[in-house]
Amino acid sequence: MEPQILLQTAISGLLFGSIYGLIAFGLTLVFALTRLLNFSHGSFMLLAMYISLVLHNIFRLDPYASILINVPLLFGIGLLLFRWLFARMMESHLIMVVQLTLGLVFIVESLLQMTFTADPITVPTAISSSKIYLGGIIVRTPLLVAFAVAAVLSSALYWMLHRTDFGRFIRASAQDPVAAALMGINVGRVRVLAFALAIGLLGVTGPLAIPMWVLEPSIGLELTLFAFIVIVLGGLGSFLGAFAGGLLVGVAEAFGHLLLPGTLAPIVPYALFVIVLLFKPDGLMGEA
Amino acid sequence: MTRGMRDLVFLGTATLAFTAAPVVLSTYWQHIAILTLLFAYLCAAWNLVGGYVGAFSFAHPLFFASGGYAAAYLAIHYKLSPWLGMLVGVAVAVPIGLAIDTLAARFRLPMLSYALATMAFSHMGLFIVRSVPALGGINGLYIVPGTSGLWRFQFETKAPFYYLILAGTAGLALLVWWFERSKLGLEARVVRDNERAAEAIGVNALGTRLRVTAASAALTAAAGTFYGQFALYVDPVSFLSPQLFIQVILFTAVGGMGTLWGPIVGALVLVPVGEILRGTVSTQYPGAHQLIYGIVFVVVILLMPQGIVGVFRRRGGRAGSRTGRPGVAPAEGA
Amino acid sequence: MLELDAVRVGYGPVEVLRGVSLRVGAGEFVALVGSNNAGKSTLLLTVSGLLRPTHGAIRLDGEDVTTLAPHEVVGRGIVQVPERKRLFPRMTVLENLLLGGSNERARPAREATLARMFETFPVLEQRLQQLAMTLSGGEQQMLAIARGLMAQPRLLLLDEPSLGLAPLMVAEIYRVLARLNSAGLTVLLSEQNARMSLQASQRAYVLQEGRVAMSGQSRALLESDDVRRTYLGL
Repeated sequence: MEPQILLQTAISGLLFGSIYGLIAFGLTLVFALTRLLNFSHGSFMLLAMYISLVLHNIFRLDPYASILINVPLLFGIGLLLFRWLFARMMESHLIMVVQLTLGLVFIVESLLQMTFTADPITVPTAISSSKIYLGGIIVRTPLLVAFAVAAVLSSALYWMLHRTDFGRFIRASAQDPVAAALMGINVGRVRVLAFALAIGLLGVTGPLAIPMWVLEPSIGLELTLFAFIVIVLGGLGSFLGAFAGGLLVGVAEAFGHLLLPGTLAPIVPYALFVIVLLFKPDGLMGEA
Repeated sequence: MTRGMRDLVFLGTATLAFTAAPVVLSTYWQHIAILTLLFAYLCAAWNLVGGYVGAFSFAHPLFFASGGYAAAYLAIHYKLSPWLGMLVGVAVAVPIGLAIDTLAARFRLPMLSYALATMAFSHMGLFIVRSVPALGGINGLYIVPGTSGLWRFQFETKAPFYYLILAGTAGLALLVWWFERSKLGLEARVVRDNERAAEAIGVNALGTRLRVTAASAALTAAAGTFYGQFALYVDPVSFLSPQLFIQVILFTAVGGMGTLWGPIVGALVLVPVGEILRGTVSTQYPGAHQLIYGIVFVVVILLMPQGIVGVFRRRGGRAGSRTGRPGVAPAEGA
Repeated sequence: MLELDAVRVGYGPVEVLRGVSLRVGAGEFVALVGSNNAGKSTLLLTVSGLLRPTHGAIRLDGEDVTTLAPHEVVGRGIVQVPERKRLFPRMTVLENLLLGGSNERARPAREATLARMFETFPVLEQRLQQLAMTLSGGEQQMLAIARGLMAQPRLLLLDEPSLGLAPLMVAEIYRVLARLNSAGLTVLLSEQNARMSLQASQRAYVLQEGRVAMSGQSRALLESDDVRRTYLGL
């Protein structure tokens, strides 16, 4: 195999992986603070993508520009969602959380299906079909843009977590909510805001991913499962792990597509997932 | 009359009443009735593992597909009776189920990891099956209708399918009734509620789980054969994507997990409602019936965690810990 | 300053505090003594707002604070150094201290308070960038106390600060607490190690099975036969 192709695959994988990392970051944020695995996470990303579609169809708004609308919109949805639903789930049994969030998937998906039908749709952006040539590597521009934004955003988020009070509140509340409360941290409010932030973040990743994906109402759960794979591989509850896991999954997926026929290729990240799940000593909940 | 006897009488009466259905229902409604009973069957079969053993398994699409694909493939290529194909399907499904559960036990997978791992396995199954040309790839296999007859598992009208699934569901209900009162059923629930305590009193947790999983897998595979023959079509998406079994789990949860009537009631109520909605509202707004499912589901889970049946049973249920404050002991996710 | 009035607290069906009344005056150093499951920790957790009493009231300077949320309690100046320290394990010494001083009252003067902490606990300044979980037991306890002090407490609650520490370390900690108390900090301290806490405090309450069994001047309690037998192993 030519080294050229290997390099191309690796780079493509890393670029995609940066988006996965961003999606996983939001999920990690929610999990670290609430111990809730939100099965509907991907559905909201899908929602953001469809919102971009609507804005494009009605206002001819480029999906990248739609980020400005999507983020506050999804942030608001996140606030409401936490207040009405997730805040109650915190004391619930694990199974109930799984069921409730699955129910949420249903609701979002059917709403999307009702509005847009189940037909697959692609949304064009200004740069969808352009490519950039770096040395001998061909990269689709939208992918590069997505990577750039994801990288910047990830760095900003990491900085927030480690250099600001709010970020410290988040990490403290995640590591020991009781101690955090004793510090005078309003843990409840931290949770709401972080949750809304996580959902709001999807308002960025959604539009970023549009040029690379075909939109269908049913892919919400797939996206979530993929995000789960990322955070499990990266170390559940670890923010750095979410980013690293994203890159790892991106590269694994890319090589899967290189080495296996198209219909079988997606199996690679899943196989990795199962292996890691099996060998994780305390399972998922054991992580601090 | 004891509750057990009452259940039996109820079952017998209901089954008898349901046999009248094909006579009074139009073809369209017979179709819905068949789907309803099929879901009731699938829910009851899943409930063995999900409700009684407490293992939240997403692996059932694999079992379902085993039954469907084995029968279809063997019927098409070897003219084998789908009944024999069903046996083959069962013979494929059961080892898969046992393997997954053994793996999970060997690595001590807690509940959530188990759920995710089984979900991953199902997806992997989907990728694999759709990549095998012999199994029809992404398009699946079409079963050409030939001579009809019970042995060929093909019929000219819907009625025989109805009777088959009615018999199957009634039989499964009877099996669950017996299971609830059997030693295995008791052991399963003990394992569900506290595995360590179960081991302490001498219950072989793994053995119990494996036996129940084997049964659930076999039963689900049989249903897969039925559905394949009914639709005359097996394909990766219908059989292996999460859609179908998420609904199964949803109906079971709404009806009441870990009960005899829960899964059946859940399906009996939600499937016809969904189909009616699909026929009416969903023509204007496709997917509306799923919206109803989702909302009903969320509402029921929030208000009636024990499901519909639980409301009638008035069981104690789980006392949610209400510290109301960030708990003193960091919550263990439960 | 702090007043507990017939407070009863339970976990579900189990009642741990069965009507506890006590007072802590401003500037006092009060000890809470009692065996393991007497309810000392429960009492402190309740004062901090992590548990809610089923009956009774808690008052701070006359204001009823019984139903305040934990962060509001801190806002009123009641800060706890919890049992087993509960440092944020994967955060550095500096981060733990910064967090300690992030409540509204303490935040504006945080830098200055931090400097004062380094004077009182010089070892912390040396370990600033180390993760909290890599510190020794004694250093961790210092950090926990410093973190609590960062919050500008008017009343400092300490739950078993000497647990698992070498005697030398314990003495050092009590020295620091005495200094703080004479500088005006009100202290309510719960200890199984009755001797040290009784020597350090002015008044004490003896908690037994969720009730105040004895109370009075610490010196008197130290010399009481009952106390000596039950809690000092003499």
